[in-house]
Amino acid sequence: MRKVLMGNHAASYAAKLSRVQVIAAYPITPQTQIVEELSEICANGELDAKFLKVESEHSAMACCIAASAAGARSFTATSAQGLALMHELLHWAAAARLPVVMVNVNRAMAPGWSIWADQTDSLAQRDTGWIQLYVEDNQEVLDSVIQAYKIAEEVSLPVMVCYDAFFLSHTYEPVDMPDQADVDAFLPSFKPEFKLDTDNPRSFYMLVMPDNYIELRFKIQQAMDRTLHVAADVDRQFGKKFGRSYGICEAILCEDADYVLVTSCSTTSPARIVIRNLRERGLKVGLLKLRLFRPFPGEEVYQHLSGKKKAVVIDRNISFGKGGIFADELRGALANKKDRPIFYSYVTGLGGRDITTEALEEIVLEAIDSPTPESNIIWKGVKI
Amino acid sequence: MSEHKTVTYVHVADMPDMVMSVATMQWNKTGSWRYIKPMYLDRTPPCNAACPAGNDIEGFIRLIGEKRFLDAWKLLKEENPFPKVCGRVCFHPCETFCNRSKYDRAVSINALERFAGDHAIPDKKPTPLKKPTGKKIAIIGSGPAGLTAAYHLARMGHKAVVYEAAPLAGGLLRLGIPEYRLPKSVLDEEIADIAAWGVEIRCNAKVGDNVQLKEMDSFDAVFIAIGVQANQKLGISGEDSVGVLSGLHFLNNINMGKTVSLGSKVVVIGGGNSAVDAARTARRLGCHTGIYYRRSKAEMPAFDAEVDDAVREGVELHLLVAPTKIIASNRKVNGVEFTKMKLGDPDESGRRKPIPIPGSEFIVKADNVITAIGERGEFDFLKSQVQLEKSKIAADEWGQTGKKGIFAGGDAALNDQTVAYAIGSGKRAACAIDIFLSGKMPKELGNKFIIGGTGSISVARYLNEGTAHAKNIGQKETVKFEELNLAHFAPSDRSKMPRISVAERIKSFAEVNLGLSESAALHDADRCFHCGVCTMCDNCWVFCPDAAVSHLQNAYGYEFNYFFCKGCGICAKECPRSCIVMEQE
Amino acid sequence: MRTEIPREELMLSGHLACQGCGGALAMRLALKALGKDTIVVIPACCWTIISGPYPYSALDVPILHTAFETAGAAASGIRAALDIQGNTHTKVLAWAGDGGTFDIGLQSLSGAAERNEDIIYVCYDNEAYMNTGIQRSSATPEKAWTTTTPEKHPKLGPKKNMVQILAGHKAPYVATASVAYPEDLINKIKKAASVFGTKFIHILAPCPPGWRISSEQSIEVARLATETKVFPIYEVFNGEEYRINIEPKQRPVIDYLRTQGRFRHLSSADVEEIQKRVDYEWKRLLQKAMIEPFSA
Repeated sequence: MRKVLMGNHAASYAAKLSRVQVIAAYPITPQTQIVEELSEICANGELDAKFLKVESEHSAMACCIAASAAGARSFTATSAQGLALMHELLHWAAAARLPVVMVNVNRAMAPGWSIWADQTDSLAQRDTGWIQLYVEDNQEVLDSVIQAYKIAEEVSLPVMVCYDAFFLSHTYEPVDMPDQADVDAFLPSFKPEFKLDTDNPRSFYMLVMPDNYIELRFKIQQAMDRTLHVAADVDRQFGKKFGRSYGICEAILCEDADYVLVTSCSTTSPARIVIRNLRERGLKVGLLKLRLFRPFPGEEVYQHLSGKKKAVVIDRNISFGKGGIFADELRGALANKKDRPIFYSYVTGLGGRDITTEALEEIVLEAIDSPTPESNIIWKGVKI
Repeated sequence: MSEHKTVTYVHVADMPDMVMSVATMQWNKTGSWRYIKPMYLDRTPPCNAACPAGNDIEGFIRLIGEKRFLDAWKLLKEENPFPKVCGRVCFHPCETFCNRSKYDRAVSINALERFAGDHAIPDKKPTPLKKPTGKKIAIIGSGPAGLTAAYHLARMGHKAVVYEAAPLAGGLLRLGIPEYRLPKSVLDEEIADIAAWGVEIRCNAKVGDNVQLKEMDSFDAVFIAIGVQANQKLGISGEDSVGVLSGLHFLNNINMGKTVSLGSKVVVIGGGNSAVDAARTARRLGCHTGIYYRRSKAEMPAFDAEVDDAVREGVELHLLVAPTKIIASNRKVNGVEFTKMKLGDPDESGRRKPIPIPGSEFIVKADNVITAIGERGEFDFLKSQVQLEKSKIAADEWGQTGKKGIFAGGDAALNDQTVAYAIGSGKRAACAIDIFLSGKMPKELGNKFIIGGTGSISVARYLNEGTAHAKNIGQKETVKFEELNLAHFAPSDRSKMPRISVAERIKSFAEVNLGLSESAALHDADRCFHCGVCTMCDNCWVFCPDAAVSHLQNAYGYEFNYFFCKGCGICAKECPRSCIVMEQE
Repeated sequence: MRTEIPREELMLSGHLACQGCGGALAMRLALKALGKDTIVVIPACCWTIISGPYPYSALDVPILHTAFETAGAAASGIRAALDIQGNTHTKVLAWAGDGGTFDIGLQSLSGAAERNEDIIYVCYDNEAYMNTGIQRSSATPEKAWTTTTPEKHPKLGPKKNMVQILAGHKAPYVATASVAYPEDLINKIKKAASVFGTKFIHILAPCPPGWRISSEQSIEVARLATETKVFPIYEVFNGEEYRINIEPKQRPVIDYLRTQGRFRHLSSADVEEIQKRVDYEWKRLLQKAMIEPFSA
């Protein structure tokens, strides 16, 4: 069934289709519609779930962790300050090997207060052990949340699905809603091997001495390694069942390109237009959309960037003292590859400033024209 | 206990993905942390150590508390054949030493002993404890010492023959203590229980008179328990006048049912129990009676309760007065001259010496004078057999006189002249005689049946029969008040002994004390702290932070799990009755 | 015999509590009250360590260890998960120290209580951050020594009143309890288990190293706290109806204070001040319990 949905509502319906059992959330702009719609859905009896209107995001994550440990599929959503407040527990959920799925609406960090699009919030949590997906449109929001549960429950790691504030969260797009029965077939109910169970009493998440800690961490990395093909696999299966798949990254016109524009999230949509336009003008440009960010798909990305002259990376985020995070991760992943491109790292659009097709076109042309990047961070559209 | 092992992961592949437990902490023997460890110890309660008759007081009170009144009586009888008697006339040193007396008031042990006795069922055919030994022991005197010795000797399988000079058995219990304190029917019941063990009691058989002393040679051992029955003389003029009676004689006659006529005014001279008994008896005969004693009330040897009862019954108490002469006319007494006394320094008895105040003489009219200033023994007929020491038969703490096979006890040998000490002395003699007959010396058995450190003994433990003192025999130290944890007790009033009214009392010789009701007895039994004896209050178990105390399966009590006990000491501290000691590892 | 107290031990020996630990005894008794069908949530506190390291447990019931400030939220999450899976019989017990309740855990406890989550929240209170080395918390009594309130810089201000705070949430059942009164503690936890909603039990749990007492004194000191009215034992129904359960012996506070090294430095003026406040609070409590109207 097709509906015109805002991104937030796509997330709500994804949670409903995924038959989440425990929802714990705290309101924060621009996530509020996710929980509002879910409240309606639960109130109408369309979803049999417990919805705890907790008193902070930190408690929301604590709740989800506990609920998941007790064998329930759990869900939450947040943004920026709320995500930051959860930070301690993001580490916890991952190291606890719990398949919590969270939607994070990418919003700028304060101060100054900003409710608009910025990816720094979720990227700043990239070390916590969460699988991260960055999605481009409302359909992908819905589809990715469903995929997220399958991936999470397979590898026992939590997943966050990230998308831009307002550009997706509050923008209405037509979205195909799969049938519940089809989703049930794709995503069976959550049956963890170990959980809080009075018939099998165990202690979970206790003190670990140095003689065992590093092994447990090694296992998390092993799971992350597995996630690379599990995520791809799940996406393929999803494609077979529902006719849509996204890959762990998407390459558009990259095979014969000399220059590749690298984007993520909603910026990818205008980028597609820009690449088409530039191709029509004879420039051999391609587009690489980054989707799975953690685990970082270094090999796959390398496939698309090897031998290219330049990679122009758009970051709507920054790690102060270093630079755009996507660019940084790409550079790092390809550091030992001899035929890696030169990276042009553009930081733009922070705090919700529009990244227009014109700006993107200027960026690509500028990068093609300059022999080397003028600096590690090239600020675009900033009053400097 | 099942082995709990530690888990060591060698390879990451052995480890589950989840950070979770796969075993318990029971491999961790925290017992290695401690440097002191708790031990359960059954200790001697002070009442048991204080009882000269060796009763298992804590034990019988516990049985009363469990409503097992008959069993309480049976427990007492393992040690003492006279619970009904003692429960009426004993001076109850147990109550003085009772730790409860330091908290609120002592447990009514004496009244509870009577209660147990009063619930007795006579055992007309007691089951023999030992096979007959064929040995015969002569016991001279059927007072508490003699009859107790006979009782235990019979239980040991010996043949005991008691020679009693008077027409009825009982000694001072029969002839001295008045009916209103000890009904003779009660005494008869307990004497019958003794006879049921096969003890032969020959009355009207006075050794050294109508029974030859030589007859004693036919026995394997002899126990002399003739008491002190001769009245001490005042040593003043007029003592031989008509109407001057010896206190003992007076009481004997009354107790044997003879009629004694007294004038309307009776003077009783003396301050001991006999004097008080005589005075209260005279009062019941309708006389105006006064007790005249040369020292102050504090020095009166009589039991305080008896003196108080006498005063309540209208007996006048005249203190610090001593008789100088008895005034007679036509050889019949009509008055006594007294002189007032004051107290000087203590004499050889430890009491302050009374000193006459010159010129303080005064005369008291009297129709009768009853003298009761003390008794002495009549041991002439035994000259050849025993030594005397300070007017008593010389004997050690086991009743051994130095002459082989001849033992002595009770008032005849002891300085402490009370029923309880007499009973204790009879028990010691019985054990000593039994040991003698087996060819051993008492010292060879050591202290295995001595209760606490004060000399009372347990025949049950000597014989290894019954349950009296079973767990705490041999513990010399008694439980001190400071060792109890009073937080686990609550104040509770001591049950009052119901008594007939004073007006009723002096009208007859009916028993003054009526005995506790069942609810009063249960209430007071409940007040017992059970010092040193585990009552399974569960404190040690409930307060252990390490779950290292558990109830014994199919047995009374608890055990410590020393694998895990950390030696914190909470159990010892919270035990209300000091049954746990902490010892160095 | 204490026939009302179940024999089964759900807290196993071999745990790592110090000798004489009040918190260990509290857990032992609480689990006797609740039985095997219980899930325990333990935020950072002494019990995190007491229950043993990986891969062991000292309890015969499931434990979820959770972050310091999250006991209330985690318990809520487990409850929701159990309920949605059709299990409304398993009890959820949040077991937090005073730090994780009075201070850092206050928010999530308040949130849970406001939502009236069907959990039992027990705070075992040893009156400081004992696990990390005896630092003061808002549960530390006034003037007590701790490593962050040395004698020259004592803790000012009295203990925060958590019972009042929870009563203010109109929690259906709030009570104080003490390891010195085991039947009362067990009865209260059973009562809590039989009522729907957020139940809060505040247990006084003496700590020998932290209070500077000898290990065998734990129970005695807890008892004295109640006998001197420093720690009254009472319950509050629906935030309004107060009932005092144990009649204190009306002993002076000095009897309690003198047993502990952490109060050794108090002057007689300090003791008098404490006595005044204890008496005041007691009178206030009598008023709330409708026993006696308050008069200054």
